Amino acid sequence: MNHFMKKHIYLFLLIALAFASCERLMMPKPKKYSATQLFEEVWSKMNTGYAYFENKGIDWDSIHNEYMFKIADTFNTQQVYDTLSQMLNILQDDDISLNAGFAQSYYKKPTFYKEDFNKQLLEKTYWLGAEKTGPLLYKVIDSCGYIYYGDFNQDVTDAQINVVIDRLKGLGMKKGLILDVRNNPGGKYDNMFTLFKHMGYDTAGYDYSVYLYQSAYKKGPARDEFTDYVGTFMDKNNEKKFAKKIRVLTNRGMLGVGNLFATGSQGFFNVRTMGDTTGGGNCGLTTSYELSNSWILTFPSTKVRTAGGFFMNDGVAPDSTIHTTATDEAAGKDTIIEAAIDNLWGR
Amino acid sequence: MLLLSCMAVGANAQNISEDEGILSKKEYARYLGFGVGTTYQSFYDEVLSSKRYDKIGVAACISNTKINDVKYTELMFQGSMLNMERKSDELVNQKIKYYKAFMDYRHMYKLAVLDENIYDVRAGALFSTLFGHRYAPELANTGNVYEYAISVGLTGKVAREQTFSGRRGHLIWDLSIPFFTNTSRPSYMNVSEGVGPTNKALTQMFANNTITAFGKYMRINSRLHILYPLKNGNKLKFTYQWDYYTMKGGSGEKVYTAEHTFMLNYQFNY
Repeated sequence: MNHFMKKHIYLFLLIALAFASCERLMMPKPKKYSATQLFEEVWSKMNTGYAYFENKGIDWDSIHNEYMFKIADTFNTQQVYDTLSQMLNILQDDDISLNAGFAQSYYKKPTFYKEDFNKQLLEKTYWLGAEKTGPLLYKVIDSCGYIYYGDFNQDVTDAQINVVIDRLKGLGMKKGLILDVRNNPGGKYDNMFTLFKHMGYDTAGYDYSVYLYQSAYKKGPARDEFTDYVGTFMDKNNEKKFAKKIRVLTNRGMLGVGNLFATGSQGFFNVRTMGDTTGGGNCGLTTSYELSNSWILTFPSTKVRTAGGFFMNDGVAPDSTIHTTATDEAAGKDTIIEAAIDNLWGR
Repeated sequence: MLLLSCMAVGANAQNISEDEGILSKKEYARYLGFGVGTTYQSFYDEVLSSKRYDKIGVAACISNTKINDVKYTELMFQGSMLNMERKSDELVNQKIKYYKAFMDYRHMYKLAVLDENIYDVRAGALFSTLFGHRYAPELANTGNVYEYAISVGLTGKVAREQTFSGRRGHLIWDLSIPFFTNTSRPSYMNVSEGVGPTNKALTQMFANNTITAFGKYMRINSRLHILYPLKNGNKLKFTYQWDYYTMKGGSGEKVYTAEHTFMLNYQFNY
């Protein structure tokens, strides 16, 4: 390698090093981890992003003043996690969580409502002999199609639904469909929209659009900085439809997206919801953010209301309220399913 | 930084002839370039994380260059896909997929500045498009960040001839800075991903587009090339590129990204 080549290689490296140094100056320095700094980061992220301070009636500034004396840089990781989880749980929100890797904090609202869902009974009678495609469990009961979908986190596809519809028709579904989503803890919005695409029914000659619900998005750090509420609609589409008449079964065990599904279903002209009010919660889109120590903070950053403009914190009431009864259970019957079958038959 | 680069070029300057090889009817030397190299990238995205991510990977580019005594044009596409990492405990490990692609078109004319016997100085306009996508699977609902920038700006280059092992090559430094940009970053906390049935990637990408000057989008692209002629008229180009940009969304949440790329580029003279 001659003198010139060497000289240019050195020059190249020198310039690369100079640029690298410059960008270190231009990029913000990563925050150094300390317990108090992390507390400030969590408090501040919630302060600028959480959507429901107004509804909760909690003075978040006073929480800061209280907890700044409860945390110290001498705390070990477990103590920091415990203190921050405790602070977040003050908001009593199922959708807030702190994922520290070794543990994930969450709040579970205690409920004293009737469950209206007896899994053992369902397995022994209604689900016996049922077929399963993807996450959908299905069979035909008394000429009515029956599908159970228990978790919006389990991905469901149009192709799977098409298979289920064809199979149910082949098995003798004539009166309509019962879509049982009781005890569904919520999950992904995409799965909800996949189901919505197969609701409604084919109309020749005119289009329709179903008003599902309305949302307001956080648009800035101030606590009241939201966009106006905008509606979410499901337009007529070419997907294969479940049936002309659909009954959606709901109960208190439905959370998050489950609430949205219940209220959205009520917008369809061929759907009736039956059972109990859903479990409530915020239903809004959650934001996740990685903190300076790599923990992940998740919280709702969107407000969602029913198409009629009501918050769903206390749940979505069904079109027909029906509870399971001890007498029916003793006779091996699920009162809500039986009522849905009767309703589809017009009895 | 810029001063150092200028000094480096100046200190080695000899003469100005840069174009050679097969010429087109209009007396352009034309080169089709294919390049591949090592890239080190880092970013700090305030929408996703308080951590800085970085990674070494591979980048590739295609270019078309036309040059004569007066004019210089270059169209270049470059892209890379990296699984970006950061230091953390194993229990909270996370990788963010980062796709970056840009297309720069430089159109320059020779300037009669400095000593023309030593330097070939050219300056002109830049048209640039840049696309970035980060995907953090651990951040449910809001882990998809799309951004783009379509810009016009200024570009310039300084070249001088240099003999490498008896062959007449060139040492070139160029700099490009966009000034007016149509750009888009996610809305506040990336909630634009939205609770809707039709919210797809393209909708998200263009949802917050705005026209801006230097303030919201700043990019500096600086390259140092050693151009080494081969016996068949083609050329080998060794390039070090520093590409830095910051982009601000409507709510003020910024992304800072930097890329250092060492690339070997084969230039076909046609």
